[in-house]
Amino acid sequence: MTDLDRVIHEPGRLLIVALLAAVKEADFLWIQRESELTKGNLSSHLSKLEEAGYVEIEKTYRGKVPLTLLRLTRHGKAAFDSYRRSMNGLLARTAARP
Amino acid sequence: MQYPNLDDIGRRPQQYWNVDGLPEVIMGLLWMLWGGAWLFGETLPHDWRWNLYWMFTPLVLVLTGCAAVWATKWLKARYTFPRTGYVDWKEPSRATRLAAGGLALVTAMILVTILRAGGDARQHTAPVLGVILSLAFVVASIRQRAPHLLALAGVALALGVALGSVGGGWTTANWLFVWLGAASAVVGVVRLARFIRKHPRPSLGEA
Repeated sequence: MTDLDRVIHEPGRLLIVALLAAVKEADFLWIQRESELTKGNLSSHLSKLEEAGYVEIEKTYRGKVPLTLLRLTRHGKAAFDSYRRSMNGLLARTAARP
Repeated sequence: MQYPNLDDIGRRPQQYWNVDGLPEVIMGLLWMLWGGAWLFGETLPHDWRWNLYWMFTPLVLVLTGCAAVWATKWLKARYTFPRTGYVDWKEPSRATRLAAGGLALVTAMILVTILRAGGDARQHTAPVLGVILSLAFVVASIRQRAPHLLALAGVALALGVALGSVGGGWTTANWLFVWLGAASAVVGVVRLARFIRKHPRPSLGEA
């Protein structure tokens, strides 16, 4: 359990990272809709993920509409893959116990 | 908050592709165009017009296939992304591309075999195509959790059987494309209208 990445292990952040791992990039609106997190909650989780270097946040415009683009960094992708492997190993060990 | 199911989350972008009905509209129009182009070509007299038409049409049809993906993304950028969010999808993996290419090749080989056999075998072109398209819709429906695609699977099967009873080989297969395309476009337009009604554009500054 101590091997698990605490930044990703939090359910809200895990959801965000898993969603971003499945796309090239997405905007704040899509992640918010899919995660069903509030704007404030999502912003707070994104700040933590950005601090850890897992997520890249780009503020831009689509026409006159402000757009927040989010993408997983290479570091974030590696952390997510490693988390998945650790979690699967943990579950396999738990299932194998008599 | 419950721990998320990572496999389920991995499928969300694929499901999002089908959220608005636009892929069904474009696919439907494309099939109508393909079927219609072949049917029109068959009505031409076998002179310079026939040669000219069949010199360019296959290339144009291939190009429309490529343009369809571009058109779907362009329409999504205009109608879907401002309402429910922007996503840039990952390119399909090499294994997925190979599987899709293999399936298309097998389908083409089955159809060519039936058409070359001649006689009674040609009558089975539309039913066989109907079954293949119906199965493709069922698989897409399960993978993308899109129950409306099951309705199109039923339409493909019913059209295949109905047109098979009329006979006519490749011509009826093209009519199958035209009618199935029309059904797909109608389903898509209904879903698009519902999507636009359900998701009004957020006001400036909300994206």
